[in-house]
Amino acid sequence: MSKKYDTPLLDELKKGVFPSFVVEMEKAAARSDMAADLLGQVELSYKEKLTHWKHGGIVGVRGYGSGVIGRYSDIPDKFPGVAHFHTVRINAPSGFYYTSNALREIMDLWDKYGSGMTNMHGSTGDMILLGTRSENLEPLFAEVSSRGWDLGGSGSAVRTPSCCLGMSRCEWSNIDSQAITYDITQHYQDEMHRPAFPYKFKFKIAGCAVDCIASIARADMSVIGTWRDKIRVDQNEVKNYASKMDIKAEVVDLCPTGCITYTGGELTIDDSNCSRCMNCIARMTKALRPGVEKGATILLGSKAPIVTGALMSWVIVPFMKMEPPYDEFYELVDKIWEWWDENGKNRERIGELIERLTFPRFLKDVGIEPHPAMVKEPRRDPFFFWSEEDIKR
Amino acid sequence: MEREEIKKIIYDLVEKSVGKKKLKQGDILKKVAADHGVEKDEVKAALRELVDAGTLIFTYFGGSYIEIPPKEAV
Repeated sequence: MSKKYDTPLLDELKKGVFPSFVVEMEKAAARSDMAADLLGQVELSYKEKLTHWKHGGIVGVRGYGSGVIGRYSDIPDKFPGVAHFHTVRINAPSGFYYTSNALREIMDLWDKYGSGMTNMHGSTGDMILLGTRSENLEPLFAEVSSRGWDLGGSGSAVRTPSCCLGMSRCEWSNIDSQAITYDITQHYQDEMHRPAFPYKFKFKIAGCAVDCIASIARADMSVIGTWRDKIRVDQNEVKNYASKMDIKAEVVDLCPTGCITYTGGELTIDDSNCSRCMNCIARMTKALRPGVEKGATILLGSKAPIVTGALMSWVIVPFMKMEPPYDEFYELVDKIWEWWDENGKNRERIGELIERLTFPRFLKDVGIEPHPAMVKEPRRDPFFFWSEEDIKR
Repeated sequence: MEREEIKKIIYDLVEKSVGKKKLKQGDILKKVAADHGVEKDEVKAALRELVDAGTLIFTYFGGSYIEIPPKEAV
């Protein structure tokens, strides 16, 4: 089938070794005018080095302030298929598990009401349906919700929480990340669908410090599974590893706190100095296991560089039991949001607010005791509480 | 205070801000609660009813705001 538009610049993107989104858009263009015009508009943007999208505005479904991202072409006469090209976010199940029937159901609806193109998954934790018209939003939402699905978060709201595969496939998961994600999603339905914050707030839940979901870099609040007692060591398995790897070079020397020693064929860990990073356990999975007293470390403040630069999360609670009904966790979250609401500027993420008002101020106002685990880097620790009088002196 | 009364206060506040300042949900909760001595949860419930009825809507312009739908603003 001939192409509607010549796209020499987009064609370049098909020549690399990796799968190209252009190939998929061309497949969709064979049966969708929206996809065909999308190719044309994107090609023009590449040529002019200028976006032709207008973003935001008054687009959504009745009662919700989240879940639909308004997008319009600023040259609708030239590309009428993408005059409206709104994105719809569908709340994904914890761990991104679907049945093929569930996927077919959503895709059939999206062929009916939208472009048929998707993004599986966005970093928000949603299934992202790309491109529909304003008049299709309410009928789509009615059909989607009648089948048990819901929209995800967008705007200045709680974004759809997401997690690693957790205990469903990983024996190293210290917490049930999927159950926690589901509980947070249900607990904060109002905060997710009706934006009330200075800016977005993301939860990501990782089963262990390997952090397969990269929560420490991507979530305003990371919940990372950990343990409080001692790493379990099987010395017989340590001997087996010694025959096939260099334990000193690959485990002992890479321990960030230097708390492991390997002498006389025995591995010894000083658990009081262990930061629970999981490096040794991930390298010697048969010889080492996390302790049995499990819970989570709560971190706060990471974000990508949008308004200001990127931030990584800080530890705010070294260990918290994460067991239903998670009262301690929700109480902490509510206190943090209250502080953010009182002090945050418009479009200021919680991490940026902490940077602006300082971490000691955050700890004091929210009522969290300083702990050595909170030291993020040299000269960025929470233990200096200078008063006005101290500064005058 | 009756729910309908709170709803009217919220609507009036949003209407007065048209063309001056876009209000976030948090701005409305704080202002109405402080000025009228109502619990924030009460204000939130009233605001939700207004949004569910389509009397007020959420908009997005770099952040999420509460506004009067275009037809009613005219």
